[in-house]
Amino acid sequence: MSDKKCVVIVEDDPDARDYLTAILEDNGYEPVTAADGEEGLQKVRERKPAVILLDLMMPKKSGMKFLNEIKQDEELKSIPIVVESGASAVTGVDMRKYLEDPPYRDRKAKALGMDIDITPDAYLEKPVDPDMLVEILKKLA
Amino acid sequence: MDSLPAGTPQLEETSLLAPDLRGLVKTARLIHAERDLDKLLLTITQVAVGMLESEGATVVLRDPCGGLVFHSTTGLKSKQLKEFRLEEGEGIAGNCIRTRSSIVVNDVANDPRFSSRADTMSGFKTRSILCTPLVVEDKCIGALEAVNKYSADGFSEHDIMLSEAVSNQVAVAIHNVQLTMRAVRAAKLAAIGEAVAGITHCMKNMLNGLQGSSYMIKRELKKANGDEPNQGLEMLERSLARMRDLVGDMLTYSKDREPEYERTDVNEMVGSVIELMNTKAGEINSSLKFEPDDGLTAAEIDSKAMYRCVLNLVSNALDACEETQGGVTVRTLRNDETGMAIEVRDEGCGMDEKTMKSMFQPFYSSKGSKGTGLGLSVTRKIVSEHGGHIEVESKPGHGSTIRIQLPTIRRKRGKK
Repeated sequence: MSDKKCVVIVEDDPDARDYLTAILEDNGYEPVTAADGEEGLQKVRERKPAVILLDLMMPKKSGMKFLNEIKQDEELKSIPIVVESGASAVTGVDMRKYLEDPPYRDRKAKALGMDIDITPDAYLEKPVDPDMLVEILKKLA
Repeated sequence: MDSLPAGTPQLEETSLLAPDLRGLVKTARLIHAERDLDKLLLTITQVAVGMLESEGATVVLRDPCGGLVFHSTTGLKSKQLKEFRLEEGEGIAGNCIRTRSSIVVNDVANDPRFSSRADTMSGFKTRSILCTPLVVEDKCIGALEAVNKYSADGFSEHDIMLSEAVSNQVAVAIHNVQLTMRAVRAAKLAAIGEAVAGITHCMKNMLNGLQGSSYMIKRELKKANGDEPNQGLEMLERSLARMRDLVGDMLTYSKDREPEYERTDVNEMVGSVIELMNTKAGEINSSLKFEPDDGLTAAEIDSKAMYRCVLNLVSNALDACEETQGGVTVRTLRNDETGMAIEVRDEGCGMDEKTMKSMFQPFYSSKGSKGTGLGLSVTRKIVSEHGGHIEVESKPGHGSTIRIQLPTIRRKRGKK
């Protein structure tokens, strides 16, 4: 096994996946990809990555549901999660607002059946800026 | 009349005459039925001309961005006076608005308060003026001005009374229409906001793809040719940056938001804009100077949003200097009464009246493909969300000065 830090990318858009993979490879990380929440969960259990990069709007299992499950799993909850998304309610959740506006977060969390204490460890808005992503990864892992 | 209690004064005995009363009733009906501000103001001036038997009439309103504006004028040369501006306190109208009391001048040539600027511009010859303030909810929103009484005696006490009666109605009607317009604008903005949020989300995903492809191309090229610059890729990256700016501006412009106030060292914030823009100034052989007011203490502002405003203004100022190669000076100003100001002065090409009128309209740009056309709309929106306003002074060939005027904001705090 390599000594590179493993990052699981959970993203349904193949182009976005390739882009994130390239950034991670260029900066000395070992990317592992998953195309939806279910596959993501499986990869996370297998690999126990240093960080998870998570898109919000995905088929099968949404990003928010994925986040909820990981953060309630005793074995996995310490893995930092970076949500990458376009800030907009079109995804179901405007993540920037979710992190900054407590009444909005409470309302959304209730609707999604989430614990309000569950929030991602970092948030990165699309389009992804490679430098910003690397900076966040360095801080988290 | 038989049904009136004994002792009720007959119409002839009151100061108002029957035609005046009929006129007032008709006025009230007309102006309260109108929902379009321009039509309402035109109706008001037409009614005033008829009732006060004058050659012309004007509604002057306070501009939220400062100064007074001739909004509607009836009579000779009225076209030339549309949107004519006065300074606060300038002329008879300015004095009337400032003192909130009616002013009659039957020989303007001998009154030092009279400003002849409007006459000079329009070619009209003012002899007499009757000006009454428009007050609603204890605020003076403007004035109704009648000019040149047909009768040689000039405007009378009776005219003042009539004009004040009309003005009271007019002020309420204008206020109501402005409130309705504001509500309609808010509803429109909400609808646009929803659509824009949807569009920008899709655009962000597409931008992510484009950004990714540019990254991958760069990666491949690097492997093949080292660090040799690639013109096509540079073009792609420039377009990407512009699209990112547009998406950001669209989101800010379409969302109704409250400023996220935080204690900010304004001089430091402006200083970081200067630092960022110095390279651009150098590229176009312009100079960028910063004159901070050292007495300016930290203020409660939305630091990120205000940074963007200053960046927009400085970037515009430098664009204006591209051909003249004049300099740009940014100043911060402490003003205890009204808060503080951030001023951007350039020795650029300056703006004509047409550009000045349209500069805050969304998607208006005098910079062709360079601008998003939203920079100044966004800037004004952010400033007014702070309860401030923007002042503009400009002359073609002489540069422009744009000042962000912000009130002192004291954040509401819970328990100490």
